[in-house]
Amino acid sequence: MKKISFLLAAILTIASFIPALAQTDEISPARKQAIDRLALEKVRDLSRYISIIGDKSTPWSEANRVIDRATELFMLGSEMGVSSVYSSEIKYYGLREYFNRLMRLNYDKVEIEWYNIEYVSDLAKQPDGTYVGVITIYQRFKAYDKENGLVYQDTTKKDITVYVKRKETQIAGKLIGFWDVLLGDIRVKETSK
Amino acid sequence: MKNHSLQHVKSSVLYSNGVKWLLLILVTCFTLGTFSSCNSKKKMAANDLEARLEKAKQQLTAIMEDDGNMSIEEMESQLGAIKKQDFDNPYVKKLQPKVQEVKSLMAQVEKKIANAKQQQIDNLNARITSLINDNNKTVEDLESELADIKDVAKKYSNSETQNLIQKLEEKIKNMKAQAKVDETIDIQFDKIVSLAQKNDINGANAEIQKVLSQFENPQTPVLIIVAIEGTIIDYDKPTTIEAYLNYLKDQKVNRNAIKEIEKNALGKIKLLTLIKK
Repeated sequence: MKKISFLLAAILTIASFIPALAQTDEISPARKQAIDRLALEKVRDLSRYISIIGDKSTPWSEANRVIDRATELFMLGSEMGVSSVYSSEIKYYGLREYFNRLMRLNYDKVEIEWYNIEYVSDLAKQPDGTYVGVITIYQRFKAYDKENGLVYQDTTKKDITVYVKRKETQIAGKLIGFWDVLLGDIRVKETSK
Repeated sequence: MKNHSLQHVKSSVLYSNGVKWLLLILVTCFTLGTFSSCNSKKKMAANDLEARLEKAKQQLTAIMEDDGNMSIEEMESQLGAIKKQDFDNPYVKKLQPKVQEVKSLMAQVEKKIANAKQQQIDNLNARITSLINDNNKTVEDLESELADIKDVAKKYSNSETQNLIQKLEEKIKNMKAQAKVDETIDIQFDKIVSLAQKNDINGANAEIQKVLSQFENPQTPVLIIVAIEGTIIDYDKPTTIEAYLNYLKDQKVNRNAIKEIEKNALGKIKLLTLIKK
């Protein structure tokens, strides 16, 4: 009986500390705002990379370098959804494959623009400490050929899952605490002309 | 004739005795008068000394009991005025304990002033040390603080304070030199962005090569601060200078300001820290 009482007291003592530990682990609103902005910035960076990769005037070596940079923004194994106004089917490609296909699109000129980039689901802390949120974007895609001018265009709403986790590393002898922002799957939500 | 002579002798003797008595009376009166006057002067001196001692005691006690309202200069001025006075009068023996009491108080006040001065020196040195270690102050902030510190330091010729002031001056000098380097690099960053905006990829790449020549190597780390809260600094994922310069070219925007540049012995940049604008 004494042992059980002691065990119960120990459990209660430990349990009373858990909320306190959880509280100290929380970040302030100012820091949270900073990581919100950082994640949005990564999506804007991706938007610019996609535009460069799709641009037919981008030299091949530059496009390949940018593909490497763009791929680094994603979690390994992430996929990009691709849709068309001519089909209800949504195809999903691995990121590198998607970028390579984008670079090789059979048009003379391609314009890709992302706009209305905003959170659809705020970054929320998961039990493992990772912050997960969803950012929505609208993509305007325009394809031209020399003979007929604008031959295809669509507007697609896409949702991007973002993962933000605080990590530490040593740089020049200093311990650096950084926010590792990684993008996950990009899912097509709707496509219109 | 004989009678007349005798009478003359008698009257001479009588006259001579009268003068003697008169002189005796005069000397006695003078002595008595002087003694009485001496006694009166002594009494006055004793009264004066006692009053001065009492006043000094009150002033010194007030200084000892003061809890920070009185400035060190005020305390020194009052003590100086008291010290100038001569309290040592060996003829006023009954006031000797009071003289000793005032002297003891003067010693205590001297000690209090010395302690207060040391406290101010310690505070000043702590303030300078904090400025030397503070990396968030601008050159303008530090220069303004330094002028104020030098003004205060004039009062105390403390060697440690002077050493610390020299260190702070050295820091300001280095920061100014650093600012010039920062400005040059920032201008180059803006140039890469400007060339990229004009779609001059070759021009931007040439500028990237120029900037790279100032770094240890293309893999030199670049840190970007996204938030500072107290002692917690949040960074973006660390990158390299080569990747960062290409990032400027690709994104066509310079979103970060230079926070700190660390150089190696050869003057090449070994670590670049940026901060979100």
